[in-house]
Amino acid sequence: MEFDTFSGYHGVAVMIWQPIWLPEQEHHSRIGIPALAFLPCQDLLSVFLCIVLLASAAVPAQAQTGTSTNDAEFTLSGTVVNSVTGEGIARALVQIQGTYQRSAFTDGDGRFQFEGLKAGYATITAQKPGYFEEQGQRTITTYASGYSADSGPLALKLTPQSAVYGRLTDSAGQPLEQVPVRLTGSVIREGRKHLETRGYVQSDEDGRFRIANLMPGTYYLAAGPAREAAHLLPGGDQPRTGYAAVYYPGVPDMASAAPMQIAAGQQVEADLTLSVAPVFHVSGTVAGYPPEQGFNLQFFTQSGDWIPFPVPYNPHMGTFEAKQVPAGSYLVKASAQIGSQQLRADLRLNVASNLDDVRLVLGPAINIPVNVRTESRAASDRNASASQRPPPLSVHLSSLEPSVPDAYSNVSRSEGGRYSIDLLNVEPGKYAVDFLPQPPWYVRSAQFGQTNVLTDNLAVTAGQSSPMEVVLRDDGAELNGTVKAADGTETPATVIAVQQPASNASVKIAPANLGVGFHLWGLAPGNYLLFAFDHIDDLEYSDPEALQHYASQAAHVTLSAGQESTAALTLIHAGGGQ
Amino acid sequence: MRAGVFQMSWLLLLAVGTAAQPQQAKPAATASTGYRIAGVVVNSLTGAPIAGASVGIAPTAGASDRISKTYTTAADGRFSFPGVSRGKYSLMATARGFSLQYFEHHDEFSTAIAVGPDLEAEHLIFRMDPDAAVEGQVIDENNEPVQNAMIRLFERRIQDGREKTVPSTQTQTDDVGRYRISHLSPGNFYLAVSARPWYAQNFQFNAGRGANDTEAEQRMRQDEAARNVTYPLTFYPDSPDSAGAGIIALNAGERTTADVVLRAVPALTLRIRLPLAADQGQGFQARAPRLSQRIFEGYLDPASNALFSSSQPGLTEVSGVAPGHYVVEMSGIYGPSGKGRSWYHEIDLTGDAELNATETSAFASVSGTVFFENAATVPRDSFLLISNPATGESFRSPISDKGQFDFTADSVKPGRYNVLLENAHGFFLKKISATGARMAGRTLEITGASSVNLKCTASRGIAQVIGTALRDGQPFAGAMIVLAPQDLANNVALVRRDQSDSDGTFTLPNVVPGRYTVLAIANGWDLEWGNPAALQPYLEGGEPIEITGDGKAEVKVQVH
Repeated sequence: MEFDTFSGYHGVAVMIWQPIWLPEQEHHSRIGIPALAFLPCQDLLSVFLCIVLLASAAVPAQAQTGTSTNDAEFTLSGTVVNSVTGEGIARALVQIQGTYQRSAFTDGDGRFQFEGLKAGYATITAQKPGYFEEQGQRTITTYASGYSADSGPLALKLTPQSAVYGRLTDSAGQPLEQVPVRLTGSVIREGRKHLETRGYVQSDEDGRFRIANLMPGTYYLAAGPAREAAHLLPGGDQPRTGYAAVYYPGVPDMASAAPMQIAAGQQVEADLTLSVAPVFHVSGTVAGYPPEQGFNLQFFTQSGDWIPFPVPYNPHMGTFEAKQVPAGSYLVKASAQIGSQQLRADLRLNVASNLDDVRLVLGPAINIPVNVRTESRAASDRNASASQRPPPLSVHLSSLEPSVPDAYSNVSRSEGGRYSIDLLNVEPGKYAVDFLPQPPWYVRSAQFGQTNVLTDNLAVTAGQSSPMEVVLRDDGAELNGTVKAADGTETPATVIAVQQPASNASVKIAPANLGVGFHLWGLAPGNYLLFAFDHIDDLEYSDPEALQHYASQAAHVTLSAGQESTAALTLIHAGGGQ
Repeated sequence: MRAGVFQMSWLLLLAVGTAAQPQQAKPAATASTGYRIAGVVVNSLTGAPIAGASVGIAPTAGASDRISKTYTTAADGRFSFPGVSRGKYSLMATARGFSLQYFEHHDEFSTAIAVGPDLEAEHLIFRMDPDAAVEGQVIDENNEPVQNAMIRLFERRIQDGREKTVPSTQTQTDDVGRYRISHLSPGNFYLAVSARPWYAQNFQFNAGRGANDTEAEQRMRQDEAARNVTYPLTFYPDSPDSAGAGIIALNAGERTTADVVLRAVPALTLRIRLPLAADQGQGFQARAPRLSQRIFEGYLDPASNALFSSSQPGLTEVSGVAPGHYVVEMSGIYGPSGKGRSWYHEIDLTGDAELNATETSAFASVSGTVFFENAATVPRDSFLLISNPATGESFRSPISDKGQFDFTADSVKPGRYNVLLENAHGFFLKKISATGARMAGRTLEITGASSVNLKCTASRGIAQVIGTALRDGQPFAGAMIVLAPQDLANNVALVRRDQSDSDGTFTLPNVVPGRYTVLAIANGWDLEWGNPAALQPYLEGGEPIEITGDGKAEVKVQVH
């Protein structure tokens, strides 16, 4: 096939805009669908990975097909396009990983072509600086019969990266240099909204900053607080003013900040003016740390962002002294460690004058033992002591406050061989509790003090140390099925099963693959709503209210203990809502 | 005086006692208010006063450079420090767009302000250079931005007495290939860019190739070859060689644009084999090799694109290397004998190549002893330093309690090295003799992979020279003062320098006993003071002086 046949090929672009393209069965296309649930998305890269993997479910690959024998060679061609503009992307690298690794660059119009390919399974990817791989890896089957110029070419989409840039000035319009600028992204992880730092830079001598390589999404921009910059001599008189923190579009705190909706490929200009704030001395003492080891002390904004203030402290005396702290509200965190035991103290400070007697007393961090009781339908298991095996459960405390980190359960084994599971070094705060039992186990009940943590969020306060009591059962139900698009053809999807009424342990996720369908097991007996989404990366599926939008499109099923059931679901377009 | 470094006491010059009575109206000093340092801060380019400048003074007496007073200028740029005691003060300032600068600064020196009877310190004009910047964009041959390219700035300046090109600062390009280096002092700069193509794949996992390749394998290799590329180190404006680098002359306050195009070239692979021990297959081991290029006057620049891998014992593969001349070094080679050694080789890479780490020249093997005269023990934590000013390399060896030092495991290449004592508590190298290399003054000349033994004698006593620079009988401020030893070419390490202060005085510390000439040069800051030919015209007008022991000597020098 000659490249000439592609000239003016706008038909490709049209196809790209269709969210789903179903390959005809005789093409034997395969799409790799990875496990969707609980991918760790703690940094940009893995978030990106999630997106890639999830997106691949929605837009299947189209394979160019070869001749009828396995030995024959065939040609694979296609385009790499900008997912926003639909335009071809020049000089993108297209790679095929299969029996042989092949690579090629796209031409000026985004077209690529591989000749002499052999039959076999392969994955194809496209990449280019400034773009995310929207579709990512996909498996194509290249042993199909008969390549023909009539078949549409392969279209690989890349999502252009976004950037935020701008200028920091004082109220007189003078540029402010060396002021920290933070971009916080609102990301959805495990179906729940989280705020994560997506960029941290300092303004240059023109007050300019730029934070690039961003995914489309919702962001918050903040600058400062900052001290008077380097155009004052060290020593001598200290400046009496600094700059207060400012949040886009010019408000003093995160609570009133406006979210920035940044689209793929968008370059957003956001200038901020910092207002002069008086600066004060904050000094005091920290008590309760091992004297030979000292302690750590850091300042954070109220919304939990670390502030690069030097806070000189004397680990021998337990004293600290922060100079030139701009007026405002801060969170001061002190910590120390004895062996594996963390000591910590938090203090919220409103700095409006010199503070000379700030006292932090370190106390042991909160450890929550998780007592797991298993109720098995197998008689032999009923007598076995559960503590002789690792409990088939992990627990994740998902922080609902930006300044508080998540906590994960930890399994340890005593010298006597007894297993125990604990949530270690839990900071005071509010958490949603995710239970991750190993199927076939499901969480029958979960209690923390007076709180039923199966239905309610967990509030951890300092000094608290009651255990979490969890009962697991293994007589859960199984559910199999397939997902069909509106036109009745089978489609890949992500299936979410939500027990009614909604609870923290009740969201189960499974991929639905072509020809295989989906398989859910370890389901607690009860009533379920079943959703089959085209993608869930920007869906707050752990929030019952967010799913409520789609309730009318969901299927209802009631499962009893040990039941094996089937369901045929219809694809829901996430983002479409009602 | 040396800016920011205040190690000298000024006992001879500072009259101890109460503040002097005003002797005449000119210096406005009284017993109660002391003296006054005052003047105006101006932009050196425009002459305009600088508002909002933070000006400070720090007494030069004592061991501290603590700023004792600061003053922030108003719109007229004027500053004033009343009530200053008699003495010398360094004066410095910074402002928005003006990095910290000392008064009349040159290199690490500045003119300190002397106050006292008959001294004028109230009409200072402090000319500050506005900061300069270089910015630009790095693109590839397809006109696409290169992200995360390393931008390095080199400065042409007098270093160790010779005009040289030395590394200055570095940064990286952003997502659109842009960079900016700001807060630069005026000067002459070169710019070098290094990066790997984003699509480069330099490791050849399947190195075996041959006539038996199927057509499919050949296609795969063709694809691989297209990605086994790299960018050569590229000097602005467009040269893979520092000889073709274009000078970026940055004036004060200037913002210059320097864009660079990187062009991918086929990358080469260098294989380095270590000897395998004959018996029981116990191989040699070594640290990862270093690959560097000689740039400018011989500065060894590590090849940042090189990727190191090892697919079998005793074999190191260096891939992703651009064609060019390289210095290959391997240190810490340990064989079955257990004795560590080093190896180096220079190679013109024009294609894939293989080197055998046993075949070629080894480094010089330098060791020796220091005898400390009239000392019961060797000074604790003292070091012997040998440094090659041409390549920027230096090696340090601790001196054992028996006076021994050892550079045999270091990669000491042929060249001229300065030999110095460090942290030796008042001891200086009085005499050095060498076997296996030539020793002239304090310069060690190594010609090959020889075994070099040094015998050094160290003696106690570090003197200081204080003096006054005069022109037409009047104290002269801001002159470059050079204490030039006899046989300067081989004793550059003995040179001491200073800048005369507002009363013409200067101090040259840590002087090693010997015969010298003290020079005062009015416009000498661009002079190669380590070059005998450059200093020759001034030697006749200098003051000869002989320093013995660790005393103080005082001179008066005419400024030329």
